[in-house]
Amino acid sequence: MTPEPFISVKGLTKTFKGAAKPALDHLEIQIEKGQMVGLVGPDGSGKTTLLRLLIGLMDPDRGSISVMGFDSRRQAEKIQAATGYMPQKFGLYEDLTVLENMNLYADLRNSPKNEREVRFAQLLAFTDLGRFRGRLAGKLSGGMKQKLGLACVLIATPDLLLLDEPSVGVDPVSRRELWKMVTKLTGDGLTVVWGTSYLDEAEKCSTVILLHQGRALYVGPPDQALDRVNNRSFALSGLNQSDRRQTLMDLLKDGLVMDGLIQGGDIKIVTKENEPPPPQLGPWVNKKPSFEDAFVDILGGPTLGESALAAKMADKPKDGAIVVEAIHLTKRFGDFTAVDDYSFQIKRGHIFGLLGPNGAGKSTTFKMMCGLIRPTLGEAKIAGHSLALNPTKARSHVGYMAQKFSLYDQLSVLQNLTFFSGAYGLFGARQKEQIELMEEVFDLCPFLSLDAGLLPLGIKQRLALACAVMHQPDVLFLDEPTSGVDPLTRREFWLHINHLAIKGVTVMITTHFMEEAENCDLITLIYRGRDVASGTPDELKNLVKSPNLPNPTMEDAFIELIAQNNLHLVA
Amino acid sequence: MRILKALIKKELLQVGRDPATIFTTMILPLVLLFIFGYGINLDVGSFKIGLVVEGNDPNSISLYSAFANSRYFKIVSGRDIREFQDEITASRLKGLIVIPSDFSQKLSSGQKTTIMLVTDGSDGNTATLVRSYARLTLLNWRETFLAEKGVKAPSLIDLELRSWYNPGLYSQKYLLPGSMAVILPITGVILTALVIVREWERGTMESLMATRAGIYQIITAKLITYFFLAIFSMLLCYAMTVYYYDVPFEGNFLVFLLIGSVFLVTALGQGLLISTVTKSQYHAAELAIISGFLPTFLLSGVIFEISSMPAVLQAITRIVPARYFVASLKTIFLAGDVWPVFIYTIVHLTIIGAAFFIITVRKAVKKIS
Repeated sequence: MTPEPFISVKGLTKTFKGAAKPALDHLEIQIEKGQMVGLVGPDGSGKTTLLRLLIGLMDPDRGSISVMGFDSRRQAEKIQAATGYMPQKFGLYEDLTVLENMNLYADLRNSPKNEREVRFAQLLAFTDLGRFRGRLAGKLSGGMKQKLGLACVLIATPDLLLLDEPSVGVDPVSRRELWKMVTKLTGDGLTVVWGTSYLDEAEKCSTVILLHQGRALYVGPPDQALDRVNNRSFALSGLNQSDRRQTLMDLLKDGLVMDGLIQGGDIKIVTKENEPPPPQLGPWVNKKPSFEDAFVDILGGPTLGESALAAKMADKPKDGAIVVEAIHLTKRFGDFTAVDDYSFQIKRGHIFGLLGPNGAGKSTTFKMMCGLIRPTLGEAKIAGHSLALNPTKARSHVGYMAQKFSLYDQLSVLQNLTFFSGAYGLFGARQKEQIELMEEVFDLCPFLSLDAGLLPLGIKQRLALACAVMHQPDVLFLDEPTSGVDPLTRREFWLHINHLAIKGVTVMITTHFMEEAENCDLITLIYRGRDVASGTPDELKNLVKSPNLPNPTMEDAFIELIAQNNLHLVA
Repeated sequence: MRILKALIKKELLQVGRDPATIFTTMILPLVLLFIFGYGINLDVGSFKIGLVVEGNDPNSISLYSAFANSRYFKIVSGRDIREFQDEITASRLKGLIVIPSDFSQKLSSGQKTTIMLVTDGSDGNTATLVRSYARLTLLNWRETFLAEKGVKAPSLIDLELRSWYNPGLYSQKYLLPGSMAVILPITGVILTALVIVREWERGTMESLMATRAGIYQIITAKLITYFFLAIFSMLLCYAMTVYYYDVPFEGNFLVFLLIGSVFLVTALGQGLLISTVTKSQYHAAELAIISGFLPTFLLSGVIFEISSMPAVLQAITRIVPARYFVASLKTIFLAGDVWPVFIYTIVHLTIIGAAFFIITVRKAVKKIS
């Protein structure tokens, strides 16, 4: 008889009250001991539900779960005793100190008092939180909170670690540190299930569970998933900046490739099965496929060839004028300088990426550029109008999509469209015409009478973008527009953005996805309120090129440049 | 048990760190007692009234001075009713008393005599107070007057007004004890509901439940902590009422603690129920104020007399726990240990409290859903 696997999920189905579709649908998963399991999928795909079911905080509707040989329905306490579970918000008490949080979890996990001192010392050293043991958890940075959360679940030396999106909303530097810490633990025989919406993290796991709309699209080692896209991924370089957008769009529109992306100065494609890359362009260079390529392929590739939105939009003049300008922007809150003497210019039709770790000053810059907060020094100009002197005029050129969903949850889709079109100054026949256009290009017709709060995330983001572009602005400000959405929705968004840029719309964007930054014409890396590095994606990558790092990714560049700046500050 | 201890330790640490909790359990009761003690004074001090004395004889003057010396009235005197017409209309005078010119003559000849009292019917509450204070003053005067004359109570009806337990009819004396029924639910219902919902909202409930702590232990730890916080508030209110405002306390202190505890358990049950039916602090606060604070304030009989409410409202007051508590509070402070009242209170509170807990247990899910 073969021994029972460490985790065994059989025919698992879970449907929430009032939901049309099951949150998890007939899952079959087997996991062996000591694996690093990546539980990947976009927001709303069922990751959290699966983790809660595994630790017995919920019961399945149908099917069964066994963890370490215990049934999750009847023996939840036994599973919980041997498992460390870190929920999405880390489960920390913000008004307790680091040490008090650890003591609480040690008490609750029945960790013997005499062993505690040794264990705490180990964990504090491991997480590098020793210096902060007396600090309130609420006063820690996002990255440190994560580490503390991790320390709290490790106190009783569990056999299984369940982490629910520990890397969400965290910058690449902290993400990588946490990843290193957790992989070190699996070396000691710990089994880890790591929930994430970052597909690049999946590649580094030993087993991947790919969830999409409650179904497991793939369970197994990541290399096997990559097999399906092996020798189908190619890159084309040597295109000039404005051409690459048009070239990629033509490729997608004509259906010549399965998937395509801009990567700095290059175009990366994934061909259709058993088809060579389009011969008229070339020479194509074979590239190593990514897990995301496999995911997109499993999903059947992007559905749109061109942006109906941009196609319907009037061309903006191709004058190369400077449309957005920040002149020595500085913002101080008390004696804290959030943004320090920051200047940049964006030309018409360019995409400008604002990158940086959490708390670097990105949102503050964004708010100053929209005229939501007043700079302490310096000024911001949109289409030549100063936001300080002529705010109404300047703002009329801007469409703004805020971070997180900023529409009215209790209004229907149509009511939101009507309200925002009115707020942007549209009325009468033109208002009606624009609303109808948005319904059409964003495929919102089936949802018109539905409350916005009830929409799936991808549709919500579409609606938010629709509300921001309805008045055909010259400038589009997008604050993390794609966080948490699935790769197809992400591609749809970038198709719109790239096509709008071709039409002459100027775009400023922030994102935590470094691959997305590759679409930008110009990137500034901002850290501690200061401009640390700027240039094209390729220029930034070249800055960190070294014998150790011959082929840096955008994420490598980000991490390396922040690290260099830290050294600089210390020196 | 060890888990419960760890959880209570955590609660205490959190209470100590949270200025809002300290404010609601210590400062807010004092502020509210201040408002009840000074702000809401149903006595309205003294009323300004007009007094027309048409005659000039010793009897009229004697009655005049009885009103002028009364602590209930401030007198503006005149010779003619027409002088006061405008003042009354503008509500600057709360009433007008006319002692007619034949007052003394009729009185001396043993005839029945009348004095006139005009009050402002548009402000019924004040009118009633003026009426009863005026009657009180008049009766007092008559007693003295007759005594001086050596007459042995010839009047047919001798009305003797006597307010037991609160002889001076100071409204503070019944407002302040009753106010505890308004103050305690702030900690018991509102704060309790909020802190439990906060655990859900911040995701800490989930991570506690994934340890050896069960949801019942987590909630028990909260209830114990907030029970003692509320008891602390109650003692604070007691000390203020008895030592600062000099309200007498006639009953037994231990009985007071017992009834207070029963009331608090009911309040905690209500807070707990609110926290299980809502999952956001905003909704919890809304629900707690609407179902906890407002009914106690308006329907408990602290401020508005229940017997003068419409029948529908009177029926509703039967499910307001504070109503029963107020009755016992007034009794134990001003009258002493009257067990039938206390038992009535305890039985009703127990029934309501049990209902809260039973509904909670039915609603509460052991697992997240």
